[in-house]
Amino acid sequence: MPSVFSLTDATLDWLALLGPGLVTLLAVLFILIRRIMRARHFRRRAECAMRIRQDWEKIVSLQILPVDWLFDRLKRRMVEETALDRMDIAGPEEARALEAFFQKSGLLDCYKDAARHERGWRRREAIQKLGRMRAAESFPLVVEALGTHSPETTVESVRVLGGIGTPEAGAAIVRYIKNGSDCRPGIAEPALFNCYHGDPCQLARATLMADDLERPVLARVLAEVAIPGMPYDFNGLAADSNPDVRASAARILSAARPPGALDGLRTLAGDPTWFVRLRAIVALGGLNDTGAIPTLIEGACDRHRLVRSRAASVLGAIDGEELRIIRLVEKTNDRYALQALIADMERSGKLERMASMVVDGGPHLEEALQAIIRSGAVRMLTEMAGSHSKQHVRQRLQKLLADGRRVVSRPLQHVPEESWSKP
Amino acid sequence: MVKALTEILQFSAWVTCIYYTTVNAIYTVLLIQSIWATREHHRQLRSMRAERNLKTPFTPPVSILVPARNEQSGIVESVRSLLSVDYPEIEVIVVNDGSTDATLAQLRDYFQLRASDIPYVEIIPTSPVTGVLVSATDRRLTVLDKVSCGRKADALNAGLNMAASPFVCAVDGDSILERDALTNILAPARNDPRRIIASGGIVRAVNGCVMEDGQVKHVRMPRTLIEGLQVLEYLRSFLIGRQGWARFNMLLIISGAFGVFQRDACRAVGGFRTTAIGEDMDLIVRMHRHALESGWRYKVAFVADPVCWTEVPSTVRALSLQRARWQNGLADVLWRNRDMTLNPAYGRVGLCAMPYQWIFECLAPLIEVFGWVTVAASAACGLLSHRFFLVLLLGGYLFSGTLSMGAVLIEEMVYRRYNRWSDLSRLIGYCFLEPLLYRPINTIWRLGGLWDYVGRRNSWQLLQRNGFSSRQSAAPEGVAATAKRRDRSAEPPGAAIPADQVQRSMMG
Repeated sequence: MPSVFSLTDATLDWLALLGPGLVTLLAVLFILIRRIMRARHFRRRAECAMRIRQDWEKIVSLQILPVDWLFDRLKRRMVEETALDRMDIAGPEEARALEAFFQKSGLLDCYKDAARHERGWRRREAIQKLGRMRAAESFPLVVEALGTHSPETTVESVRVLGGIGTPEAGAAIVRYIKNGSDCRPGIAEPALFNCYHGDPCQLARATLMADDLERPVLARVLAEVAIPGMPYDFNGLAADSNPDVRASAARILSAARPPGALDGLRTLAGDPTWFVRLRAIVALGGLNDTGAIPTLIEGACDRHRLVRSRAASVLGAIDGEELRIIRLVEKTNDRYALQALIADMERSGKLERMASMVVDGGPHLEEALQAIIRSGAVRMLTEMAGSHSKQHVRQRLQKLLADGRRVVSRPLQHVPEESWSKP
Repeated sequence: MVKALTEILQFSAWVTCIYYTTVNAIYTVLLIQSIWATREHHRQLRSMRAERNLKTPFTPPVSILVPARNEQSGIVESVRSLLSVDYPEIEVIVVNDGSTDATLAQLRDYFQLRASDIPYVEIIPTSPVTGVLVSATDRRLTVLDKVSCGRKADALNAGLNMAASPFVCAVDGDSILERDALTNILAPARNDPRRIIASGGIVRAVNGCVMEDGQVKHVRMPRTLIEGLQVLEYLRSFLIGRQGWARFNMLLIISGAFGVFQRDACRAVGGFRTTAIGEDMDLIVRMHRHALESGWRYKVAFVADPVCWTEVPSTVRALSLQRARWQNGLADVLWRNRDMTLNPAYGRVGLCAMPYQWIFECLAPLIEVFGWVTVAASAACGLLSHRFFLVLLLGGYLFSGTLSMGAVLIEEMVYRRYNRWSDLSRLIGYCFLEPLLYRPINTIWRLGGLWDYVGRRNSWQLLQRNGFSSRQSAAPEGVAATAKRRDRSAEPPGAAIPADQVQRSMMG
């Protein structure tokens, strides 16, 4: 076997030592020089920013000609950043002035050119800036970028269209999804939300006419932007074969409140898919209709733990019906449902409020507290009976607890999973 | 006899030479990839504009899990910092894992905790939970009081059982999150919630930093050498190692001190394995395994922006225990998942990441010590020329320094946390000190950890912690290592959840 030590000749020695040594030295030098340069750069930048701020009106109105700053890298960057930042928060009048500035100064053309001819991150940067400039003439270029083969560029375009936030931009995204593009929902949904939250009716029309590919995404967004009084029939969505769409339909029905929304949601609350039932339960809570209470009680006894928990949470949030709800849940003989309901009342602070009002709340409130004590969930009440700031509240709670001890059952603290998810 | 010995030495020399060449080549590739990934990420940040994403209703809620055992010195600050993170919807679940000090009392006093009857549902089996407490001052805070079985993983599982959000973020009780850390670490999950099953952020050493109101006010290098060397080590590990591996979707570890996991994917693999020594790596490896066996399109992401500040050991004893434990944990995870190694069914994870972890991480101390012995024996036998010896030592030393400089370079170019010239010069200085002082000792500690694993020895020592204080001008000196007690026995049963249901619960 040849010795590995015989490999060493002068060339290898130099390579082994000089290679890393040189790289390390260069890295150290680079860091040091960069630091010094950055310190200088920030000084210059601060001076430049001050001058630009002082002359801002003249720059925007082109009294200071663009040649004075367009060809100086630092100045151009500062002017660009300032203008784009202002554009992001500008009202209609200032936006018009800035749009004219972008056009007349040549900045718009620079980035249009870059969006057409550059590749990679330069193109993405150009598209992003064009989007922020909000110029109508740059819109086709952003839409065109949706058709590229680069996933990063298409993602950037979707984001930019979302930033533009008009229904036209939204329509471009919908077309893009319709073409079967593998658009990540996390990118497309916020963008569509931005585009349609001012005009949900357009999205509703698009959703109702959409095919199977884009309907789930559009329905999810519509569920977030829907407003009361939308003149559409969403029953088709509620009866869709895709459970994702049905789940979104529940939220849409709750937000849009068309005639028959309660019935539609009751039907969805009996859906075979658990997350559709879950959404329907949440949506029923959103209706704030006492007619939904029986369905919610059924939800509190659902076979899926999350549906039960959420139904209890919705029931716990209904004000003024505490006693009725507790009685109805008690009637189901479902201890887990009752425990979940009381736990949610604890979590939301409702139980604490109820206990604090025990003296002045009347017999209904007292009866509700007695029912809670009967369930065995007395930890919070016991603690309040010992520590509440008002003596008469403490006394009344202590009396209720003393009376209730005769019938109290054991609290359910350690509940096995199988008990919560019924077969 | 002499000839045979010479042959053996020459063979050993070849092995050592090939090993060092390969490991250095891999590190170089990782360094280049990391620089590339950092550049790409930096460019993407310009367009991501996190605040715009925040305003949409599609941002997923997050449950932050904080296992705490005898963390009285820093728990209130830590929970305060967690409750003040910039994120629209969070719940913080602190699991008091049988603390024998005033951890629970401090939480109870500061956050006005009250006993509650909120049911604890044991989806993943854990030690008994004796109480669920809710805060009267902040409804987002829930505290589980739990009987300790001496394992952090068990406390995390209790938190996982209680978590109501589709993503859970595991944070150590002695850690401080930056305000935008959660927003940044969840950026990959926000963009692609169906594919991202876990996402990791960077952990940095808080030692030496100036704290104010539960947040790091001024970043400073620690005063002592041992802490400073760890700052460099963390930078190299996170900015080069993890970033590089994540780029190939082969990241096998997300720090238990700060990581986000898809809750249902986590539950699907049975949560954190209570018998694991390194439960964080163990979880990620099992998630890889589960996802690959189920045919998911998934990704384990790493983002270097979100920062979690944590105390690093400040004594040699604490550090040696920590490093031995990490090595022990690594060996444990690799051995338990040995069927994945070189198994084409597990794709690049089985064919690249696992063999790398075996050869260049787990067995590295053994091979390195073997290399030293070979070189020493060769020198003694006269096989080694002085020139070669010098080239070997200096070349290895300089290359090691170059890699550390690469991490410092990335830090300086993109993140720039250490702004003072004195801090920068110390960081650069440590790049050249570390291979001389720290690396050989660390190799010995790691070898000890490996020996402990082979001998089935696990000795955990609870160490004093100074904790954070918002009034102090500098962060604690003499902070000890996190001491968590775990041991090994049987694996917990995994609760199988169908793949298509994993995302469904997010919609609730």
